Amino acid sequence: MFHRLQLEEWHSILRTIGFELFLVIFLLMLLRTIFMPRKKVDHAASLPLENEEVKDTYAHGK
Amino acid sequence: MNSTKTTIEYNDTIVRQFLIAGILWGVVGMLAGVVIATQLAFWQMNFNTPWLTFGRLRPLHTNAAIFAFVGNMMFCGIYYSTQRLVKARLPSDFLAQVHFWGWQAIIVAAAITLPLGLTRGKEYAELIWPINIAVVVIWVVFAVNFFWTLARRNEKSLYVAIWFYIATIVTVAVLYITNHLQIPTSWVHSYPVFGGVQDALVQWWYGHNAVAFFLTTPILGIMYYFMPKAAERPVYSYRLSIIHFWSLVFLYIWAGPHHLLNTALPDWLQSLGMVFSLMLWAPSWGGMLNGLLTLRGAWHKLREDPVLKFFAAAVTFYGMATFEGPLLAIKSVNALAHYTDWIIGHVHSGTLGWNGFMAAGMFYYLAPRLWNTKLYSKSMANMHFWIGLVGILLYIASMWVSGITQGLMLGATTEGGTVLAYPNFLDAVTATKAMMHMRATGGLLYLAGFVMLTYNIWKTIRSGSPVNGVVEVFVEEAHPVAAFTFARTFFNPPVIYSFLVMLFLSLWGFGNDYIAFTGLIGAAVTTVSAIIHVEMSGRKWSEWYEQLLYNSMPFTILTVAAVLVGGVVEIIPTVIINKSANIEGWKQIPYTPLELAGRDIYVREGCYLCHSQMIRTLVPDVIRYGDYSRLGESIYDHPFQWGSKRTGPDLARLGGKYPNVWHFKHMENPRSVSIGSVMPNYPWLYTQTTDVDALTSKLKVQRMLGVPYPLMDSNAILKSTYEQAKIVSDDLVQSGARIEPDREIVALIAYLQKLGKPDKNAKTAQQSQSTESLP
Repeated sequence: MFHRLQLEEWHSILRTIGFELFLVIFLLMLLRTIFMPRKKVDHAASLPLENEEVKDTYAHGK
Repeated sequence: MNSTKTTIEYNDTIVRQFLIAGILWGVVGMLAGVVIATQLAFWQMNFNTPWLTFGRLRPLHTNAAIFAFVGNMMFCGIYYSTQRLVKARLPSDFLAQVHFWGWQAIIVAAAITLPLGLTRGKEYAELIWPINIAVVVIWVVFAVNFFWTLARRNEKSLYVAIWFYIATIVTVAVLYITNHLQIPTSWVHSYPVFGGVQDALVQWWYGHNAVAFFLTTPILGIMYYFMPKAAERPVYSYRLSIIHFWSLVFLYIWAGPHHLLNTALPDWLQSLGMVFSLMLWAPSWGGMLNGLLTLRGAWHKLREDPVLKFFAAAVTFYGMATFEGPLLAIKSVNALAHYTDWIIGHVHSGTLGWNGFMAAGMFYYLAPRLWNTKLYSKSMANMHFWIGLVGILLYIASMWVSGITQGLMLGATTEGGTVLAYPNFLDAVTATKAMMHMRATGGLLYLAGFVMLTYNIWKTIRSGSPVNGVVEVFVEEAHPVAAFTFARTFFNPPVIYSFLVMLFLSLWGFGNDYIAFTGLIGAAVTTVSAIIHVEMSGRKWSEWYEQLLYNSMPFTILTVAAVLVGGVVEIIPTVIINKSANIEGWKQIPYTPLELAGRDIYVREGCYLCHSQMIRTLVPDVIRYGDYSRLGESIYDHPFQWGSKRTGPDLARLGGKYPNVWHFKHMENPRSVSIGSVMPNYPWLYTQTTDVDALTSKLKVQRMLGVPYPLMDSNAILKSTYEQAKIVSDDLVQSGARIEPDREIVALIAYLQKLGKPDKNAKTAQQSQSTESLP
């Protein structure tokens, strides 16, 4: 038969911990996102679109 | 609230520097890729020269592509976008310059050391330990300047791209340091702290998350900034981007074991890696769709705008690769695909399609703006797109065909599944030769596209003059949001309720009877009370999260916690296991000094890049190579040699299969014993002498790492080495091959003849005790 690393029994809980952790964090984030105010969402989404001027670096001798 | 108007000028000099470096190193990395692809089609391209063999150039290609090309491109995009998103200039130009020049020095050091054979022998972690220290120092410099910028920002909200950058910076630090824990044996050599299965797990936890947090998350951040910019519309769904971020950074860390499916890795780890890899499909496609749908209403722009072409194609390839990845992580699919060219095709659809095309789009977007001019030739950029796309498709398609051919041929059986249909490994090599040519052609086309980009950008730069972005902001007085103390970060309703739910679920999961029942009831009650608390507190939970966004350090800590938990849960149990006490059945016999020297030659020449040493628990593997590999057979291998690709056959049970003279002829000219082989010749092994002096230090370090070597002084080592080498060389002379015992080929033969010869009567500590207690 397959000869494998002999695991101690407590290892089997680790799979459970993994799924629980994922589930909890994901659900928290999902709830938080659903209830985020519209205004905050729109403000954040528009951040990359703000305009800028440019300045010639030669004026600074760079 | 009082505020003053201030003009901020961004530091775009550093952006220009990283842009130019990214382009140049990109061409170098791709050129190295074309060379090694050609070597797999024409073995003569190894030129009988140690510095140019596939085994030494492949790490050069991977390190150049990942750290030099994508690294420089990533820093370019991060510095440009971060300053603008937080409306603050980089606080320290000096640190930025240290970052830039330090990173280039690291790349040059890699370009020198790797062809010289100075390597750690771990994929994407080959660089020797002095360079590792430099990487850590420069990464810290980068992190300091980045977080300092966040601390001084004038835009309080952290846009989603910034979150991706934060996750990248902290996670790469954790991954890099852990997988580079090592003990030096000299200035240019070391052994990793981990060995065997532990090293396999740590290596692929690192390796896969190098993909995740170096090649994916920072580029996603760049996507979330530059795609809206180029399309002139906001991201499709900001809410989706939040979900995308959190689920991605949490899930990715667990996926590492999918590189070790059907091997001797413990089964629970394989299952964990497979399932989390499958789950990863969802957030990856969430990000892909978010990117593509950002172009809604702007699809017509793709006709003319090369930037949007590159971005749209890049995100599409991202979606393709992140569908293919979970598919390949399924055990039964992996049984076919592992060790074949299908994996190479998958990797390159991501690197060429996602990383390369995002880089091209970003370079074409930035160059005109950073030099205040127009792009030199839009039609050349469009042509680059089509040539590059054809190149990618040729590459991927040839690797799919090659990989599936290899998998099917090497796994094919006849006579009721008891006999291999293609017993000679070289049958698969010969059958896929045409695909090697096609892959090299595809890579060459892709490189040609990037050469066109280099010319186009250079002409663009020549036609303009450098400018820095400038913005006017109203700097407010101290923000009214309270700073987050340590207590407030962790002792607040969301975190406390999360912890309680996890605790009760754990009791339910592993407790028995009353404990399990208590856990179930407790989890249900806690969940319901959490919901009630949210409602009654007037949605204060979302306020806590809003405040978290203004406090980047607590945000970072919680991100690290989410990211680390996967690594901790998977790695710690394997690492703390007492190796020799828990191995059941076969156990590795430590190498003799001569065999250890031979093994280090094997690692130096990069043999592990084409040859695996892990017979999987699959019938075709066992029929072809012998009994499947036990976990205990490699526990003393620092670094592990399980391998990740079979361009040549597996070597796990090579010992004793062929006589010494076969190996002698094989290394001198592989085609003299294996017709059709693409393996390079290794003539220098017959002239270079084995470095016996180095063995004193090497054995000392091996003992420190727990390998049960007896104490041996340098005289004893020399005597042992010479005696064993004499036996090998005398045997060679008997077979008509003359060689001095001190040549490297003798050491290598000694090592190869040891493979697959474990102690088959090893007992665990428990078994020994139960035997002793018998009357």
